[in-house]
Amino acid sequence: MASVNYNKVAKLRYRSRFYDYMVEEEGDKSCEAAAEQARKKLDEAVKALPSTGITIPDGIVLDVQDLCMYFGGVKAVDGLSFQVKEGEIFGLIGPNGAGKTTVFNCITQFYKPTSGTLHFKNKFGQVIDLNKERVHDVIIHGIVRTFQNVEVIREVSILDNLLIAGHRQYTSSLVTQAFHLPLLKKEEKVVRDRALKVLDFMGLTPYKDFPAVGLPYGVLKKIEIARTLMCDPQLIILDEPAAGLNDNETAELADLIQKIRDEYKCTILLVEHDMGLVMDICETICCISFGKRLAIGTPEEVQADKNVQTAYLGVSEEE
Amino acid sequence: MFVSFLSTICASLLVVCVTVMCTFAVTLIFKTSTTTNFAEGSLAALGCYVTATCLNKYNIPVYIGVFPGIAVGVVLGLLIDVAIFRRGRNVNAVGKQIITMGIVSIIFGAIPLIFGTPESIPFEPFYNTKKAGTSANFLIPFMGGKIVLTKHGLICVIITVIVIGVLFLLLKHSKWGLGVRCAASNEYTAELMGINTHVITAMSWAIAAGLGVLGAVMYAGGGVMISTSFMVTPMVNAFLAGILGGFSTFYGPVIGAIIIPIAANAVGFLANFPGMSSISRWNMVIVYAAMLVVILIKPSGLFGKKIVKKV
Amino acid sequence: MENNTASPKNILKNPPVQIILFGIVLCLIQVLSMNGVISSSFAFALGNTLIYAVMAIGFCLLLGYSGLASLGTAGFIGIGTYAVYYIMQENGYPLFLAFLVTLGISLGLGVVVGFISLRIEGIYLAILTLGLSEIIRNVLMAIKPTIKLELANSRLFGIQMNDRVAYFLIVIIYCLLMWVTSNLINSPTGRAMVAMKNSTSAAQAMGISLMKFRLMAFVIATVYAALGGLLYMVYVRNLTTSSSLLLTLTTSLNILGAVIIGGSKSLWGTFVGTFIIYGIQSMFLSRIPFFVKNPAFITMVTGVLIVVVVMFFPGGIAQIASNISASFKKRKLAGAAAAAEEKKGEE
Repeated sequence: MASVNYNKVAKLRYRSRFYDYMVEEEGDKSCEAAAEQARKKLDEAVKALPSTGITIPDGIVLDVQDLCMYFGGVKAVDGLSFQVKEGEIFGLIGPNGAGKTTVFNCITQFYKPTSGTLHFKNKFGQVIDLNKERVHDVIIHGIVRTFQNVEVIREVSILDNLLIAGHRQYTSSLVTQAFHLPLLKKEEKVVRDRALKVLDFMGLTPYKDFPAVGLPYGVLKKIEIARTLMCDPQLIILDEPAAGLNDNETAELADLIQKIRDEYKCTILLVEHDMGLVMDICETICCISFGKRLAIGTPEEVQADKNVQTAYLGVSEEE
Repeated sequence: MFVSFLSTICASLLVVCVTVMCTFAVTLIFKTSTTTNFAEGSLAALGCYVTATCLNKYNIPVYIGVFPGIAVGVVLGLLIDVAIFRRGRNVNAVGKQIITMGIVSIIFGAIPLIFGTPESIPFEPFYNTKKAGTSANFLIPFMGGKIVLTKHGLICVIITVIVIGVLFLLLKHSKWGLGVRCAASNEYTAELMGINTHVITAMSWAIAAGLGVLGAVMYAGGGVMISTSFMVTPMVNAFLAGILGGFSTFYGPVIGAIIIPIAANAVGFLANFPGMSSISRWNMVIVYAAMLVVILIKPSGLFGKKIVKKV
Repeated sequence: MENNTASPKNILKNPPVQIILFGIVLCLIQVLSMNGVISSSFAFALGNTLIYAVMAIGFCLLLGYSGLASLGTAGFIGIGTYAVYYIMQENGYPLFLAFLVTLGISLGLGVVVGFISLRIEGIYLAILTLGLSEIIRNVLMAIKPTIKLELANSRLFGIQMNDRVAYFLIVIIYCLLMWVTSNLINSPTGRAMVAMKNSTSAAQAMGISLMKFRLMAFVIATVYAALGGLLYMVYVRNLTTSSSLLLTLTTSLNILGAVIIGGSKSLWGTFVGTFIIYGIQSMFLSRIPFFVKNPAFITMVTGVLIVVVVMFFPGGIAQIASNISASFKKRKLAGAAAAAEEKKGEE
């Protein structure tokens, strides 16, 4: 099974990065040999990865072809195709019930698509078939998502929320964890440092010890985005990031999304109802309705499209 | 052989009635208070003790003696809802379960305090053979053999059919029934729509407790020794029947409650075959295991509807 | 993690130190009872309470951290008791083998229940585990209704396990499990479980395998419960399955109650909860003449206590303790946040 290999490589990658961090940031000389060894092992493992035999054009990170998702007789997504370029902000728009979130759920494997291909260029430079991955393994390839109705872990603090997002970065075995052996303590410190950095980047540091319950909606949305940053993402999928935010917060969010893209060198795919936001920050927009693609192109092209105008007539009056 | 098989099935009718009563009660509470009421069994036992006192101390016949028992059950049920559940509305589902468990402890303590701890309490079936001086059984000739049917069991079946039938009609056509169905699907919306959920839940607790006591009196009349915990097994079976039939409907659990005791007796019947004589020790194991498999295949129960969560 | 400066106050805050201290206190009680300072029935009752506390630790991880409700504890206890009987009494093997067999069977059973939990959730799962527990009880009862372990057959490393020796074994196992569990809770595993409890979809999106952690939670709870059964058999040495309440729903509910009363997310709370349900009765109330005359009152008092705690302190006893410290902490945090907002405003 493909994902087993990737699991191993991902683990090696995190271990190598952990030792690098110990050497560079902590100045721990004793880890140098281990760091060297870990790097070597990682290189070998990456080289040993079997070729998937799938190709996608240069500069494309996600290739969706003929995606279909049927629920019984309901065709939520029906033959949708689009390509997301590396490093761009890609917007997916469409009227209510157009199937936008379903597309996201298919990409992240919460739903197994009825048919169609989902090809993704992962962190190891390989092109993989996402349909073969399990839902919790999508993250090691670099795909992270947020949720439409904010799924923050309410019981724990904001910092712990980020540590949960860093779950896959721990390489300690269960025994190491059960007896709190030194490796776990070191790893814990490294991940915690990274979490603090992310919190700082998101401007959430003052909230770090707050329990997630009872915080304002805007903050919760930011926590979700911060969580995606913890997983060093290749592709961030944002499901309606601006829903429930006021105008100021939305403007702030637009800046933030662009800042994330530049800082973390990742691609962003977002679903949004706020047309202002989408037109402002997206380089490519895909408009869908009833699971089918209406138009794709730059914001200007999509705005000028006749089909899109028809589908959005009710909304465009309000704009 | 077939005739004696039918007799075996008929022998389970009494337990079927008791389980159906308990199951309906448990389902009613599950739907209106979103909890599994572990106190159902001990409430029923308490009511049964009251009836037993009426029978033995005051020589009241069982047909009248059952009413004080039911009344005590109903009052206690109302009390539990008004004094505990109404105040603890923001307690989560598991917390509510624990509360019912606390009530079990209280009743377990209260029963010996009120009624003492006698070795055995004599009880009277609905058809008293001693007084009538006739046989306790009907013998129905069938296919050359005779099917044995206890008169007490037959009376219980009639009572159960009438009571449960009336309750189903009430659920379907009365204002209370509409309220229960509404509160079961969404309590807060029900409240917003002007349904007095307080009255609905209080009535449900009252009815559930009353049903439990009636079931317990039937059970005790069938010759089961009364004790503080004698209703635990029917109650456990009621919960299992609930998930076997699926808690999302009312008829599902009731059908589950009919299936379980009959299946248990049917498996026990296999002991009549050569080489299978030890099976009667294992019949509950076999029935539970079979049920487990059914639920694993159909997690929402035989008659349940599946609810999918959206992400 | 916390910076461990060597000031005495910080050392006391260190969980292993707390657990060791607690273990020493527990051992001291037994030593005192050997010298006749404390009555031996008191120490025996404490040992009994600790056995239930062992089971409660596992259940705490299952309910409080993973959010999985189970009513199967009693059945799992049965595995431990019968393993001890068949291995030590019938075949005369040492306790260690019984331990391994218990571990093996309960591990397998935990995996089975874990798989079930992937398909069925919530109260349905609780009732289903109740069914499983009933199956186990009926099977055990059909095999042998009464089991008894002769003192002569109860040995560990050549030492005869009378109940005083067994008491120390219980304390050691209890402390060990407390330590391991508290470690797990404060590690990625524990956090993954909390994530899974709060939102399965968020947990999956963060790379947490539901299957792995549900199985793990059930395996841990099952193994702890079975270990509790093993300890019970070694300590009490006889069990009449048909009439004893140990393997019935009552025990499962009591363990559930203990965890809820103590505070479902607090390991120390589980001890307090078990103490309230099992300890207070046998260790204190049974000494007061009034309760000796009317034992039924003890059951009632426990019941009232359970109802009151759940109604007024939904987070259990641990919540009362943490509320007091949190009210200080929150004030501090709110101050920090306000200061940060102010600073932002000035910019």
